[in-house]
Amino acid sequence: MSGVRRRARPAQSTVVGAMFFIVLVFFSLGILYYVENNYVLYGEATQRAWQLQQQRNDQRFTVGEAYVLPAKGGYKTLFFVRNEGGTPIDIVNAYLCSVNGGKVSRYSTNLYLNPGQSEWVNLTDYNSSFPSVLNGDYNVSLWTSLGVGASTIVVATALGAFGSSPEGNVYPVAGSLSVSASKTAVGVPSWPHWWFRVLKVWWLQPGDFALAEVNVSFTVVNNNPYPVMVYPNSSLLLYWIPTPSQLNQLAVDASSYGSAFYSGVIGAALPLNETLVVNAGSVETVTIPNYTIMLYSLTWLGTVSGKASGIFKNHPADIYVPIYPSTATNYTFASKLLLSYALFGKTYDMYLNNGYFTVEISPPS
Amino acid sequence: MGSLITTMIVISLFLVVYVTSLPAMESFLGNVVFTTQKQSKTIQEDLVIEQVAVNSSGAFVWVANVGLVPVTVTEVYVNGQGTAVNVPLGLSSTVVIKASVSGVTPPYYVVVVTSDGYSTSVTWS
Repeated sequence: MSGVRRRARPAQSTVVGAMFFIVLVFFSLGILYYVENNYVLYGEATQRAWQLQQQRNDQRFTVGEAYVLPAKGGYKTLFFVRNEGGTPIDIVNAYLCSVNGGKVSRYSTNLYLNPGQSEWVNLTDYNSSFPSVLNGDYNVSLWTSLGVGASTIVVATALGAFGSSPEGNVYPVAGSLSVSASKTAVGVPSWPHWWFRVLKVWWLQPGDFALAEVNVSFTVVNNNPYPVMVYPNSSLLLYWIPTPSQLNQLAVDASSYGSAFYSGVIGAALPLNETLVVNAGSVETVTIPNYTIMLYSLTWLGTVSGKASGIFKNHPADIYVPIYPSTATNYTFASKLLLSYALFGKTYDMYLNNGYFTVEISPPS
Repeated sequence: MGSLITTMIVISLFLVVYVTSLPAMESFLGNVVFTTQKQSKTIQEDLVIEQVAVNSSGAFVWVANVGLVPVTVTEVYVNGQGTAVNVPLGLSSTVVIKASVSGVTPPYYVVVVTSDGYSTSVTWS
């Protein structure tokens, strides 16, 4: 035996065993990583789904009231929506469904509401076609992009006395109009007619005018559960309905005096001093006595008695009629009132039609 | 030499055990992967039945995808009467699915099933 100690060399079994266990460790780690990675992906998906559910839980809104209202050219479907949750909501779908469930109209909407915010939604802003399903009670349901919904039912029997629309569920703002001549109008010459007075021959010349006074009265019936505001810019429209002889005279005068501008419509703003409020379920009547309208005879484009051409063309008359004859003459008018009113924060126009009335215009005595 | 033989015997035994248990191991791993991936997808699926209408033409079900992944609706049940459909539904989209029904009366119990097995239901009266 030598006294020198040799450094021990690892046995072949040690090397093989170590290599085997190294391979085994890497193999096991690979499997663990593979499995763990799947669990991580699953955890991320769970996290996203949980967050989505949290957002969904925070969304809460209500549909307070729903109405179908008449509007110019059709109807408007209104729903009062309030976001009562803690997060903003986006309403993307709205459904109108007859209560018997047979017919459904769906609207794609894009309504965003912040927490606490409320708004009247007009579905016909999103689809101009009025749903034909609303012939009775119907259900309205609104849904957010996260699948949170709210709904309410509109009952047709809640209609007022004027709820006679074939569409049902209509809360119309009804009304009536009455216009009548208060007294005979007298023509007023716009320049001295002394030579006619001497000759005892009277008729009004081009440029003469007459003031007619009429009584206007209209009634507004509000069947809605909210007040209606009638704006002061509501207009009274009077349409002159000429007789055949008056039309013929108009043509003759126009030819004799080189034609002129003619209008058969009087448009004037009613003298409402302030907004008229018609409370829920109430009836309000407004009377405007002795409302003056100005009728103006044909002007001419030539020169007569030194008058400059077209001098009366810009005269601020309400209506232009033929040259007045020398005797009292009746002029027939049809009347219409254009009411501009607000309901639920939206503005509407409504026409009230009246029958005919006659104004007698006499030459000055 | 003895140690080497012993090591080889251990390795051989391991290989025998590994080869023997390989199908079971593959099955286990496959199940883990399949289950987690399927669960990942299913948990992100979310449908809501927004409207139901039943008339003489059939049942009409408005379904909105409010989840995180696209889905495919494959079955609609109305009061137990099933209709096979194939309706892909993208993110944040809404479709109306027609189902064949006969003789059903309210209330309607409506179930919508996707290709991944997710289902949602509603009772519509």
